[in-house]
Amino acid sequence: MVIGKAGGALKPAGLYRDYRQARSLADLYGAVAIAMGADDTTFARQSALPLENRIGPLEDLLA
Amino acid sequence: MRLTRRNALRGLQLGAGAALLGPALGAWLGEARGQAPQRRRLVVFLEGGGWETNRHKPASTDSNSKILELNRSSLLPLTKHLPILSVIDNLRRPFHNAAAGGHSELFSALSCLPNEPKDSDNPQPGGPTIDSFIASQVGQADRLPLLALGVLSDKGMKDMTVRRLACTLASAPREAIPYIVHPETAREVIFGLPQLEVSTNQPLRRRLLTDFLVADIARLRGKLAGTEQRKLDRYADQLRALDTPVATPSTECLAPQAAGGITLRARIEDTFRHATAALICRQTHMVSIGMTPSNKFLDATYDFLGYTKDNHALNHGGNDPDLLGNKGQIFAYHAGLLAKLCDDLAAVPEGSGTMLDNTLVLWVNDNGAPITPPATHPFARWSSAKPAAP
Repeated sequence: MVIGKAGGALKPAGLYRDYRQARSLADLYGAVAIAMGADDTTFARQSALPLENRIGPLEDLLA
Repeated sequence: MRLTRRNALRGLQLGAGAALLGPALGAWLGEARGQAPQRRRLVVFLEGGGWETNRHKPASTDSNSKILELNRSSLLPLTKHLPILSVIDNLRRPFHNAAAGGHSELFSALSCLPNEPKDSDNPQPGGPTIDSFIASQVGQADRLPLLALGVLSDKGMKDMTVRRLACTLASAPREAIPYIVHPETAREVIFGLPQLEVSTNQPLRRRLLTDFLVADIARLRGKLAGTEQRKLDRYADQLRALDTPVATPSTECLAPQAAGGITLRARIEDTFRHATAALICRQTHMVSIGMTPSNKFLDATYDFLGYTKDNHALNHGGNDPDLLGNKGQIFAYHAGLLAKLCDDLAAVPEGSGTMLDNTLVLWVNDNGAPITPPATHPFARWSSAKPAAP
């Protein structure tokens, strides 16, 4: 669950998203990293996430 | 001439000293000159023991997934913030490795990496957690790059030992970060002020980085001479001038009146007060709160909400449908605390908006074990018994 605007990096919300396992928790954190102005690929690289677990940040969250 | 913090920062002309003073002053200078973008802040709230997904779903949505109604869900206290709230459900977890019989994902919940060794009662983190990573990206200019506050059960507070430290955060593989679990310790770490020295109406003075920088300058002074030494002295004078009431309106940066941390409720509410005050006083941009985190501290009893069974029992439920799926008031209570934190940040002007505009709050499930793989996030339930209706 995500609350906030993060300097306008997040879309206006009021939305419920059921990803039906098509995306991973790592993708959520990727979006968080981008919203915070960080490089999400850096987190992915540091955390050595397997490729199958980093489809990419949840674009639904980002403005 | 009256030297304000902003003017002092504007007036600093850094040469070789910039490298000595490090990134902190650079960030201050940029913000003071209006050249640097407002740094964003992140609050992570890790819900120990797992969620009941039915209680974290809105009551109804339209065909575009727009939330129409939060009624009956535990999110109701967040209604005011619905326009900026997203409910993210049913994400795949990269690893199914809940520790200690499936009671917690431990580090993996925020790192998406397997704990090491897998399924151990006392595993080590496999890599950094997202909050620690964000702190490394946005918090380097802060006195507290990462503020990690934990809330344990009453029993957990008594039993805590080195081996039972509450840790679900990590900075690197095998580098766990313990939560601060004693409210009085948190207060001292954040504000450097013992409880008795601060009244509720006393504005905090911004000691923050200036103390550290001035101390560093004093050490460096002996290594410099002539012009560089005088330049450094001038920096030090200007930095001392910054030790004034915080840049935000002083009425908003108050030392919280702590409840004393004796009861579970007092510890929880103290934790939120401290987290909020640390953000408003700009002592950190990254706060991580662990609510009864890890597999070792799940036995918190929310008796002040009318519960007689502890969180662990409620999660399992056993064959008692009255227990299973009956944590709604606990989640609503937590949602209310998060709503209050957002309200408080929204009351502080920042740039052309408020602090909340530059903040992201992430309420995350500590997972626990699913009954059958594949694992999902939030996790569904601990028991095979049917959850109670929301």
